[in-house]
Amino acid sequence: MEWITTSTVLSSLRDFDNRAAWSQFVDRFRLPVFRFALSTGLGDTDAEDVAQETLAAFAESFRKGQYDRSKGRLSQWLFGIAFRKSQDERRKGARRHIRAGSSELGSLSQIAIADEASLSLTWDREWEQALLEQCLDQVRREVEPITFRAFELVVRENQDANQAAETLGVNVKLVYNAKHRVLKRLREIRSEFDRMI
Amino acid sequence: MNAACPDITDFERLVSGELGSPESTFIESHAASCDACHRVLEDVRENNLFVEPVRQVMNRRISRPTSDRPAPPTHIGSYKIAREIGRGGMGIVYKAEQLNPRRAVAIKVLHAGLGSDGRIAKMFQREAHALARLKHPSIAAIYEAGEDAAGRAFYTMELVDGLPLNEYARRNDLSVEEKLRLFRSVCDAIAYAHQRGVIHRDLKPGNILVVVESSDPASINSLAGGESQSSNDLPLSASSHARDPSPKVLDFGLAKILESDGSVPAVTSPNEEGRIQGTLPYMSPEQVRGDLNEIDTRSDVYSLGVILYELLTGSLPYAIDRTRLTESARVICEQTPGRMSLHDRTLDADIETIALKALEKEPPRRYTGASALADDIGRYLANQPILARPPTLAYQISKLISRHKAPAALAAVMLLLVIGFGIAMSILYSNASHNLQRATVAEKNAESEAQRAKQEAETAKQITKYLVDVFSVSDPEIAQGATVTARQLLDKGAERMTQSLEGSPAVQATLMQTLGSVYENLGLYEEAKRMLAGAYEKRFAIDSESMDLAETAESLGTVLKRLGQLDGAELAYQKALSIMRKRQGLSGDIHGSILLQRLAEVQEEHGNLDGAEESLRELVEVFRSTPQGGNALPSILNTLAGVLASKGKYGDGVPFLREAIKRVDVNMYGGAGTLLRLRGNLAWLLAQSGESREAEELIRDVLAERRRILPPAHPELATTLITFGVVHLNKNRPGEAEPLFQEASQIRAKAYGSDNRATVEARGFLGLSFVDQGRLDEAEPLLLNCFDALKRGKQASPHELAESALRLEKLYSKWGKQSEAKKWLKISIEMEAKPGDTKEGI
Repeated sequence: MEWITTSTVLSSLRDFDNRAAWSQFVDRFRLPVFRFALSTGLGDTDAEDVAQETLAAFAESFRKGQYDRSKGRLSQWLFGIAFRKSQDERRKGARRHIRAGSSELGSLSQIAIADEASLSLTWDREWEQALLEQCLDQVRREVEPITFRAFELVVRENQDANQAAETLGVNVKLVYNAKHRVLKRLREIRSEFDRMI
Repeated sequence: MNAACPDITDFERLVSGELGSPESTFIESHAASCDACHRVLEDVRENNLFVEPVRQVMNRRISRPTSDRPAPPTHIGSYKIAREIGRGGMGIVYKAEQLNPRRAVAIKVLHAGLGSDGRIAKMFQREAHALARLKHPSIAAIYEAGEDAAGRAFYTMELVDGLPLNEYARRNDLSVEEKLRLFRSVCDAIAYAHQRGVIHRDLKPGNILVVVESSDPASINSLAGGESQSSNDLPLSASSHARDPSPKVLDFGLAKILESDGSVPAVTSPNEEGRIQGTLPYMSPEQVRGDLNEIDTRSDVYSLGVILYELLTGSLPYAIDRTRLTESARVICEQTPGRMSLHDRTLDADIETIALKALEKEPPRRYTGASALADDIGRYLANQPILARPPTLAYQISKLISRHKAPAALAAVMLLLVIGFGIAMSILYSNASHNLQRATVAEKNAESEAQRAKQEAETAKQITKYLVDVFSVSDPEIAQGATVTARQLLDKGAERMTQSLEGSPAVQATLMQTLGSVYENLGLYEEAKRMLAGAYEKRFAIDSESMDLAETAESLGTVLKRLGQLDGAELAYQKALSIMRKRQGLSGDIHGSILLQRLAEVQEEHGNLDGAEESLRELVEVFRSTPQGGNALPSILNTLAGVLASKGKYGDGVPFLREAIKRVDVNMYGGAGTLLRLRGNLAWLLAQSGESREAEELIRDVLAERRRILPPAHPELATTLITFGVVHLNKNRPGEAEPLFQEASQIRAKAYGSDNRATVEARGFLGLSFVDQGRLDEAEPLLLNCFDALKRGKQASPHELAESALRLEKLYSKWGKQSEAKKWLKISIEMEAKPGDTKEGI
């Protein structure tokens, strides 16, 4: 599948009826928000709500032309929204527990609401991780399985090229080529995120 | 770069410091003067800086151990191992040589942790026997199962030279039609297995290899099955494409063994992230939820749907994050597949409809089996109309709304709703235009078809306009308020419709019908009833015999049934049926027969046994005359016999059950169990109508078989025990009947609770066996308690109550308590004569 640039995704988002754009947008940015929300102590369902609401809120302000790159990267915009939504969700959760008289309340209140600065570090980590994962998925789709496998052996499993070549029964040049091609393409896609947003 | 330039190997070695100084100096100085090489060297350097973060991501994502692999064994059992050809979560696949008969085989050895107690190995051995019966050119044959010296289970199968389905299609750049032909052969193979009662349960492209009949046998040996494809020899040249490709399905029915053993749950727990990657995207919602009882042929249909979707679009129907299990499970269970045409505009709407029908979340909405799916693909390829219909507008909207129950930002909800409606509308439009196209081709009725299509398109347009009006932000309260639920928007839409569409009753009725179904799908039956009743009124005023009215009456009937308003439900179904009978007759019409079945259910539930008998008899006639009705007939005949038994007409049911037994196909999935149940029921009717000898022979058989296959406390066992007990009673052996009834009462009390009608039935028989043994003081409290429980429960038929009273009459006459006996006889007669409830209007 063709990799669609993030700027294309964003600009199609302006088109109110473009369902494809919305789903591409969600596909691309849901994961970091969702994981971030999880890391603030929310459960799966609440974290999913935070992710959906954050993206919807961003899409809305983007359509209204409020997103201004000069005032911060997309990542920082999303973090701002995700942080607020997560705190809201946690407060709601706490109220639900109080109403329900849950015995879990004790453990819940022990998770202190973290300050924005330390959550910002969490956010950066999740963001980077999620983007890289997507890049990996995309490259995996683009290259021959054996190319990706060779790359996996040298990078993930830390095999040296000769070892990998032996495992795969191919010559070592193919392994080096595979590593080179995959990493280069990964960098290209990854930098596309930075360049456009 | 030219021939003299260093190659990538040199650059990599340079950067990783593996080269000695003369070499590295040479390469660096060359790169300084050669632009191309300079760029490559820069890339390699940048790449290597990137390795560490990438490695971290990959390792965090997949935390399964991959290093420290032991060397492959030299022998397993009597097989000589050649080399490893794949590995995965469940085991390792080797290419091996069998000595007698001499042939190359694939051998799959399960990981040591799986069934190390030898149980799995035994199950494999048993199952392999059954699977060996599957002989189909597109199913990889299973040869043998066994246990190696270390007690690990293994099995051997045909060694297949081929490429995974997707890979094959991609490399050979197959056209849509070529892909569909290939896919259809896969469906045919699965259908063949389904007909023999084998479900695959783990279908995925990696389990379907495409073999190109080639004169050169030494191409590749690949095997997958949760096992990642080893890629040693992957390059299969595209030039072999010219020969006929044929698919081979691997690992048939084996997932079942692992599931039933419990060692590999359908979904591994979320903390074992990544463990089932590769399989998850192809699992049906019921498999993902771990509903093992729900898994049947339709689960395979779902997996085929995913495979078809991916084959045609190159993407999975949903974005599945394989690293997050719970999240992926939710997506599979809830998310609607993305539109195929978004991936490939050239894909026809019909093919999308076929894939989406296979991908329905609820099994009853899917194709009934792989053969039905294959047939529709066949129809599509032959340019005939397909049987699948796209999901209705109402279904889509309600799905949309049920996903957004929580209050959410207005903008988000609106966005989703409007987009959702947009999609629904575009489907309506495309249907209409599609029909229009069809109409122009159709030889007969061309004009009326075209007219209908035009009307549909017109209605669709009006509805869209209306919806856009309703959901645009014109209400200041909503516009300023922070949150609103989709449900509130729906209510508002419903309310506004009654006012704004006064002039066009037909459109209004269509919308009311749609919104009614939306409410129904959301479980809001009162609101649904209001909408549908409104639609009924409007449609009735337009044409009291239209098919539209029949549609509304049917929906209304279903909603009323849900509300427990059985009288109304019965009337509504009757109305729908009467229109259908007049319009087209019921025979040959699956829809009509489903409706008739629903009517019979309502009537039976409602205690209108005469009505139910009449409906079921009609249904039997319809099915006897419909070729495709054959499969459903045994169950209809059984229900009819059951209704007759409830009326006390045991003998009348006997011929129907005999017919059912004759018609049931034991090769169908579940056929053997059905046959056993039917024979048990027949024994029951025979016993009740005094044919004790045949009944005894039958029931002895059935009980032995059921004891063999069912766990000790299975409720179905209780049914058989009771029948056998009754046979003993009829032959005047109450002492032998007693322990059977005791066991049945215990089983049912445990399964259903002690006051349940079925439990009370068993206790009633136990009481009767006491009466027959003369243990009257033990029988009295038991039988009195039974009668009370039946009356309290309000579920018993008049006949059951009468029967219960009659037992008390028998007890007291035997006891010589004549006045008591007379009293119970009177009660019994009154009960039997009790007329059904009077009917109300809708």
